[in-house]
Amino acid sequence: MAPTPGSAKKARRESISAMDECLSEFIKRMIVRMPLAEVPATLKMWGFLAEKDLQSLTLWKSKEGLAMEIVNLCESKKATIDHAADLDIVYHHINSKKKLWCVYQMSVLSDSEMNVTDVAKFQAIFKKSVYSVLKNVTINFREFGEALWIRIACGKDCMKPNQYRPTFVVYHTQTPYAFFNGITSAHRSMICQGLLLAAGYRHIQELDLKSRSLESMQDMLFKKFSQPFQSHHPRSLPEKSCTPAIVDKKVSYENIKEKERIQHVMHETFGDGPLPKLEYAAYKLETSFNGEPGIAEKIEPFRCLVKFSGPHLLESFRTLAPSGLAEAPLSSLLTCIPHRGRNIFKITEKKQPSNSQAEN
Amino acid sequence: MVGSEEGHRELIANTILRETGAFNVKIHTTSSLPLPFERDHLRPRFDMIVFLINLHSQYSLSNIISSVALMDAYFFLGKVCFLATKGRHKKVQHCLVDISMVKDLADKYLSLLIQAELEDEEDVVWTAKRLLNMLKICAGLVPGMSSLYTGSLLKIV
Repeated sequence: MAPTPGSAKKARRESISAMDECLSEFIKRMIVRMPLAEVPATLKMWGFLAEKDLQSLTLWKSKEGLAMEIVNLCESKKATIDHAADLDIVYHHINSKKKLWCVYQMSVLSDSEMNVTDVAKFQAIFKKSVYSVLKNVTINFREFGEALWIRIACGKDCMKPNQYRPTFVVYHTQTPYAFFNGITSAHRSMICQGLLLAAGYRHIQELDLKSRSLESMQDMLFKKFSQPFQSHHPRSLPEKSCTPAIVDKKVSYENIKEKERIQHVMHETFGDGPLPKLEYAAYKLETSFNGEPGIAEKIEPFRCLVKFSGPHLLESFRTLAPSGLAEAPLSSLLTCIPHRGRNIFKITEKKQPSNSQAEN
Repeated sequence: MVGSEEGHRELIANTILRETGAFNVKIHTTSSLPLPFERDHLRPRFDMIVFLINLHSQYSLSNIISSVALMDAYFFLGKVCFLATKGRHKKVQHCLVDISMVKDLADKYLSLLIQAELEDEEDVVWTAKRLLNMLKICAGLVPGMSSLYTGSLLKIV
């Protein structure tokens, strides 16, 4: 009548091993994805496997072998999905440069007392708010210094959460900024609402800033990078003289003054130190034709998108004038990027018969 | 040598200095004309002017057009040469300046147009040698040939 104890045990063991199968596959795929040199450091940061386990790992030539060994160790220690998610967070923290991050800014504090940073309370409220909307979600938190990393894996309808497409949110508790990656439009409102409730704000909006480098975005937004000198300060910086490259007496440079002027202008615009690392800047134009009065109204507004992209965009802007590719001073549309903290612009027209201007 | 990109100017200048044989070459480089008048009294008479145009940059073309307009007519009797860079077939999609525009410019001023890539060593040496040969004629060092003569040959061609 009742199933025999032996078969019950067997059923339980089967269900445990079935659960572990997805989990071990997940852990294995994560390890295979990492470059071999990074594996020891990542595992150490994860902190789940003990020191002696890490030392016993032999760095196999093939990652598959290494992954199997790690998975066996995890199984013996009874790893759960939370531990695996933690490893995922650590991996993404180390490799944050591979993903494109966007920024959301929160405003309008709803409750001034909530400004006290109690991370546990934040986590509890966030979890509660998300679970109230969707049940099959995996949420994990991890703190790295001042930043709180939140990993959210959602499942569609009744399916288990899809662990291979998580959303990451990096929230700095002292600031109203949160950096998102991998967010889908379906879950955006749910996650935003959770954040607002937990952090104590009422309004959240997306900023026009996207980049692969988290640190650069943080620098730009928290205004940490060195601003160039304002022009009313006297020459407090040391005069940098332009030394020509060819020192031969037979070659004389006639444009030394011009070079110095360009260098001075560039220094004023961009400053001396390292610039934030952006990958692209997009300018969306929505202006109408400026032609003869009769034709202009009939033609539709002119839409075009100009995109500058490169590995380190602001650095290349800085070298544009000195290398002779553009005139100094550069257009303010290019140079205002670090100050304004955005790299997506929309240029529209003023409703007047005058030139088009950059709006906001 | 007049051209907006310093790197190109220096490359050619270095190679010219290496390739000169028996005679002395002095090179003045700048990014645009007019030359600053502070050092006018120190400057020698110029035998040849080379204008460098980078076909990837509209700015370099407009720079040269405004510089050429300021030149004295004396130079256009065979002492001016235009050098267009980066017009190779593979990179045509990056060319913002049409080569025909540069050809028209050279025809308008009755001057020679040379196209070079400046990517490998051979190309740079070849360009430098050609410029040096032209310089020898312009300076009057080749007996029997004058710049006026080579300039007039262009009209026929």
